[in-house]
Amino acid sequence: MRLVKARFDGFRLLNGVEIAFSLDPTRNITVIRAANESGKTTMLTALQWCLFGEEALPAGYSPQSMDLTTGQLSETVGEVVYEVASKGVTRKYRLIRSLTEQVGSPVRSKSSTQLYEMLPTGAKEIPNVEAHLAVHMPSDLREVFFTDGDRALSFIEGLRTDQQRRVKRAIEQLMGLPMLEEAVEHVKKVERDVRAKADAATSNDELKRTRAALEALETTIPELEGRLQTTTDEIANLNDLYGKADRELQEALKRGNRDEIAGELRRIQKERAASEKRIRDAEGRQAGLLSNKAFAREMLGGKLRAAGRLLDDLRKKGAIPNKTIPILEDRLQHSDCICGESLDEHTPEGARRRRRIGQLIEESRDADALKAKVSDLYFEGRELFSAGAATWISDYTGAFSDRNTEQHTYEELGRAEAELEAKLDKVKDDNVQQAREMRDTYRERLDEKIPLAGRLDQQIRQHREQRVDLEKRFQTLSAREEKGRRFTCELTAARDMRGVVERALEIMKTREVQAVSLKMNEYFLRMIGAHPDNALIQRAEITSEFRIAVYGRNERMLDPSMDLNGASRRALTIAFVLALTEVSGVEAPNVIDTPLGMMSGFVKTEVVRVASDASAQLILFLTHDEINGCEAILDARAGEVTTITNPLHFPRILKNDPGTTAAQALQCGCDHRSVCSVCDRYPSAADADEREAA
Amino acid sequence: MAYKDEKVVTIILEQVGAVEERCPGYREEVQLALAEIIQAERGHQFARTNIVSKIGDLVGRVGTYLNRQTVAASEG
Amino acid sequence: MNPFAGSDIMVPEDYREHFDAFVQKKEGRAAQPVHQPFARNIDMWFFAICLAVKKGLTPAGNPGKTYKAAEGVVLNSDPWRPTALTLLAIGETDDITIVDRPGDMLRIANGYALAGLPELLALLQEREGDTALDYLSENVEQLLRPARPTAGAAV
Repeated sequence: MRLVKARFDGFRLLNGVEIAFSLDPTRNITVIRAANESGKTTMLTALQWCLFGEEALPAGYSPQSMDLTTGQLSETVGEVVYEVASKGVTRKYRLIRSLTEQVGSPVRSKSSTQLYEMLPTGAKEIPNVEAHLAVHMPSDLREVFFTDGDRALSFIEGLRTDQQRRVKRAIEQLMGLPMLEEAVEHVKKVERDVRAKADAATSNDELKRTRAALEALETTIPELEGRLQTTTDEIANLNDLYGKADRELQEALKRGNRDEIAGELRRIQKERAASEKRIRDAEGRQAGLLSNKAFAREMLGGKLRAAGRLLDDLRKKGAIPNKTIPILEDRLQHSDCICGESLDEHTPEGARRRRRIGQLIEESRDADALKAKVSDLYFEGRELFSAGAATWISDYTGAFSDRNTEQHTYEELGRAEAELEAKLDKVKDDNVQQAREMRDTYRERLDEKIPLAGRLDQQIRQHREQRVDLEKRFQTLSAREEKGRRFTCELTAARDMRGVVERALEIMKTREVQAVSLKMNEYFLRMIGAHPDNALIQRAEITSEFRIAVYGRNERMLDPSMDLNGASRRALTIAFVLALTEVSGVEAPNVIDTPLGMMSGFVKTEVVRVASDASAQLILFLTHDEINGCEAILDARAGEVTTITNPLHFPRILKNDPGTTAAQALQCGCDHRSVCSVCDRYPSAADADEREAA
Repeated sequence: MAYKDEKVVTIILEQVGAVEERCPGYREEVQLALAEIIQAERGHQFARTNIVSKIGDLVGRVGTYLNRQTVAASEG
Repeated sequence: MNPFAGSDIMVPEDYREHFDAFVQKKEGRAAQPVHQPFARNIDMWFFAICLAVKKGLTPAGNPGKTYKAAEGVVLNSDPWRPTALTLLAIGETDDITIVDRPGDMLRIANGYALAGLPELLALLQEREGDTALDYLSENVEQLLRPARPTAGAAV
């Protein structure tokens, strides 16, 4: 199918806008150039509305013109002319969809359609429009052929099972798989009917029972398959969640367990406090050196030694220490003196000597007060005035060095403390604990679901085997009877035919999907300019579970939503759509709204080139920015270009007064390189300001 | 437009080759019937038909052929 | 034996604020030896004596208005101190009998203290970025370092 022409009246700001689509196979690109808010997306929606009806409109969307007021009658008309080629014959059709509504009416009307085949003899009206449209442009393919650059990303973003479903559906629809599946169902129904007839014709109880068992299986097996699918989906989602939770747990573990860090911090803080105390003590010790004995000894040195010499003299003279009195007193206890004379108090000589000693003691006592002091001084002060080693400087050096060492330790501990505090900040409360719990929860659920899936799978297999056995049994039983033989042959034929269709289905699902996968990879790598030897992205593929997967170096699987940038993600979805179109052999226009957003010059040009190569007809809605850098390839490949302008962009964006304030897009024939008084605009807000100032 | 029927048909024909030739000409009969089935399914999309009945007829045709050939073979 | 137990240590009133600045007085508040190198007034007074003697300063008289910085009895806590002051007096006067005259001994000690205090304060004021403790310690180290023998130097 190829679009020839389209026209819209009364569809929002599109009134009297007419687009001619390029039919030249060598210049198969049609460009509609429009700035944002100029009607690009509106046109995409209008086109889809025309072909698919209300279901193509977003919820609550109204196609009414914006200039109408409540109570006024709104008339929206969309017209599309298209060609369909079938078995070498090309037919041309004209589709008109119209909607008449009262503005503000709570009742939403339904649009009406008319379809004409354009024959050389004139237009021939076709009565069953929807049926024809369903074949020419099946609504299921809408999402594949009408690509909004953002929406297409849902093939690779979002919940994994949703992605898979969308990809699977797109592939199935384009391959015509539903039709084959229906064919299988129909043949099965025929088989059931034949068995019923066989049952009725023969009166065999065992036959009846076998048939009943088969009928039962026909219900049970699809039911089990449904449950298995649900469970498999759940497992896929849980695996995703488990993977994410596990990654978060690893991150949390790296950041550290809050309790551990807090404990370590407390320990360091205690050590630092202890170190601080030791510094104070060391300072105290050093201060003490300014008041200690060694200090005084060395500072007062000269004077002390002078005193010492005096005391030494006295000692040498024997004046100190005074030992006399104790000896004399001691003698009085005895009966004789040191010299041998008697000190017996009962003899006159002894008594006389005793009196004499007593006298000596008294005389001594007077002189002794001073001598005693001096004696004490001699003994107490000997350390101070005698020559000895000078120790103060080495004590000081030691104390000072101790202080420094402890200061270093203190600073180290301070640094360690600061680091731990920073680490603690990064760790949110109970991070590790929570992450672990989440992950374990998912693990538990997986441990429930996985065996369940296994059991269901086994059950399905058993039931299928049973079915095959029962079918054979039925045939054997009916073949025994003359009347049954005919039915046996029919069942055989039905089974053979069903087998062919089932195998064809299987092949389309595997071999053809594989072909789409390879093509998608080829297009994608071309678009992003990846070189097999050194690119970070090595390949893309559609897995057997219908997931679009991307691989980096060393076969590492990448997550498109995280590991690819915006441009690559868009390129990937466009590559998928193109590959699918090509492999399925479906001929339909690829209509893409802003596909080149976020792309650089190289990727932009390659996307346009690859898309043009792969498409039968490529229709692009592009902003001026997107066209920037692509002019050359558009020169070569664009067969038709038109520009749409929003008059309400004057004066901020448009240079010239369009002469209207109606909310209606203006169309001019400017192509991607030209401007005219209608569509000329300021390249930036700064330029607009400059002009306004002038 | 829509699906290139040719692709589907090609694959179907491929798979017919795997069907057992139960009697002379059996595979050919199956092939013919399948081609008609595909066509019927196509038409069924345009306008709802009594497709099961149609397919039933086709299955019946092949079945009858098989039956006749088998009987003839056992008699002759 | 502390012959000074009954006496008071009197210091010129002008020095009171300096004693307050450099002596660790407050109980219960963390003392900072680096900034207040002296534990008690008596220690600062004793340091001044040592400084004056070491530097060979002439003992000063006439203290002017004074206040009681410490009691002689606190010298008991370091028994070697009364001994040192006694020896100082003997060394100063060459007279052994001075041990019987605590008043004279104290006068000699005070004379040196009065000479040493201005010197000490000068040091503390010129210390710039250094802490009081470190600057004093360095200066003491300089004073106690053995002089390198130079030709003709007096011993």
